[in-house]
Amino acid sequence: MTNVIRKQPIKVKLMLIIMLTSFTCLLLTGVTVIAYERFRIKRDLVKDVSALAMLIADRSTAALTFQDPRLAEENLSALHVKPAVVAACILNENGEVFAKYNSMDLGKLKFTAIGKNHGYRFADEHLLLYEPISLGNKQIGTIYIYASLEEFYNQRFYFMLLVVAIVLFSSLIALYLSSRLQRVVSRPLQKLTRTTQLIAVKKDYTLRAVKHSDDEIGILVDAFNGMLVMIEAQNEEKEKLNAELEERVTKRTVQLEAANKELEAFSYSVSHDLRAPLRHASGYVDLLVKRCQSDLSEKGKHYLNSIADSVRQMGVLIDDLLQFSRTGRMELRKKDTNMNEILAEVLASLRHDNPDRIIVWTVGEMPPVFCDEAMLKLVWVNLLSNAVKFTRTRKEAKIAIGVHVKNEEYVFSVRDNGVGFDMQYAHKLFGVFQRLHSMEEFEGTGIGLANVQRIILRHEGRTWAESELDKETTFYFTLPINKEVNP
Amino acid sequence: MSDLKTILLAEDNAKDVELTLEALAEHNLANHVTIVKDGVEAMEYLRCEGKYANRKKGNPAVLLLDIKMPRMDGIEVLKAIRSDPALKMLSVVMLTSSREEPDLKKCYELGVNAYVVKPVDFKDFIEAVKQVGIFWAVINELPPEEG
Repeated sequence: MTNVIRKQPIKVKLMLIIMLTSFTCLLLTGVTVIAYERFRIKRDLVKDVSALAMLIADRSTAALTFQDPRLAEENLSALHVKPAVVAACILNENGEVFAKYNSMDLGKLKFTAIGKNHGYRFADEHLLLYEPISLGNKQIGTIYIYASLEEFYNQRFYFMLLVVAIVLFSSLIALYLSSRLQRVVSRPLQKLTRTTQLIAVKKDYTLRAVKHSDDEIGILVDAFNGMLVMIEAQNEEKEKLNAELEERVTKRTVQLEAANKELEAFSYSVSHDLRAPLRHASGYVDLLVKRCQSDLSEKGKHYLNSIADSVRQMGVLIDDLLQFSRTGRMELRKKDTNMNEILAEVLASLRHDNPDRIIVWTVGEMPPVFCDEAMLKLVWVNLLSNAVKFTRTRKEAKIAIGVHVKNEEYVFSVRDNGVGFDMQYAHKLFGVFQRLHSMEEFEGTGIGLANVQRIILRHEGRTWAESELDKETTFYFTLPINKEVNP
Repeated sequence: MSDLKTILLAEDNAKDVELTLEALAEHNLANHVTIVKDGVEAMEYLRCEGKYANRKKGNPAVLLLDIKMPRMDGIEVLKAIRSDPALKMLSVVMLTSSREEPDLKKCYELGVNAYVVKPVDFKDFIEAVKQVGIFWAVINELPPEEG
């Protein structure tokens, strides 16, 4: 029941309240009127009957004194003016019936038990009234009047019918009035509700609710509009900030693109313009050695060889630098990659290039990884060829490749028993053109690990190394575990 | 060796020209090389215009084309050749200083026959030029002459 009411609109609730209230009031009024009417009829009946009783009692003194029941009955017959009186009688001082009015059986009334002084009582929807008949100070008899309340009950039926009719009629008027007047309260609420719904649907915070009254609803409308003003201001602020941010991003993007283009142009010109003179130098040195051999002393040939070496070295440096710049600029082409296959390819080529070396390889099972295959291959080539290079002085080189999972990352490792490096220089390892050994000891440009770091960083991983000089060195790199990869 | 066909070398750098000729000379191919200094000259030669108006008609066996040249670069020359009905079947080999992805892609899209990067080391350079020269000037069969 409460649930049903709860679901009703305010309008219905208001009407229900008004109707219930007015109906209750009307009902109470009706009941009160009926109760009062009953009281009034009884009082009037008592008043009328007692007046009659007193009159008859006064007149009947002689009849009793002279023992004349006919006179007494004549007196009693005056009672017919009051139709409510059903029966009456006069008892003498001994309590015997002296005279009667109407034929009803009065025997069953135990008058003596009632008392002789005047008084009355109601019983069985009848009034029994008694009045003493006195001569001087002496009571010579008692008059009893028995009156019916039937008239009242008959009237009460019509009365109640009237009350019900009034209640119904009033309720109808109340219904009509309430259905009209409830609008004073429900209309502004409905309008406010409609506005909020409109705002919720349209997301238009420039709309405002219209204030119709200065009551609580008016206050509510004001508060609501106040909030809208705030939201609108905040939205404007947000839009402004977004626009600014967007503008900044656009500006930065343009700058970045320009920088990238410049970098590309730079590397293009490096590759073209720097290589050409080197090629020329190499060519002319070669031609000089070939064509003018007889004119050259041994020292001269040595110098020319040194020039040729340096030129070659320069060429390698330029190539490495270009590749380094490419690993930074090239778009990552990530896909599900079988690390085992890449490793097998790299190992095969390393074995092929170092047929005279004794190397004990320990290769763990690799997980599939979501990465740029070509770039990851470059990582393995660099790390493994380093391991091969720096174990060159070992009779038997040991290189172990492994992987384990830590903190939701794959941690790949390459461990070798090579010459290693002093840990105090570890921070320099991955720098461009950083070398921890002399060219005479171990060749190389120092770009390999820089490439490794750049590629791994672009894959959101990390690189580091641990080494114990002349004993053992381990290079690590991590790659995020991509859950979409199916083994 | 059967009769040698002409090689057209488009190269703006005199040193590169000299070294390329040296390399071709090692294999007796140098005598058949015509040299143009840039793209515009290359097109004049191919179309027998300007100072080449009176040259003997016929396309060279191969055009060795540098990419970076003044006025009209190698890629523009290649585009002009492929859109010219009289020249579109000419064998064109890019002979360039570096391997740049965008260049490589553009050249193959335009229908280049080969793309050769000049090695810095002269011995490698000689080897590369030799192979290119022998293949295109000796081994490869020319397309049939038209009109």
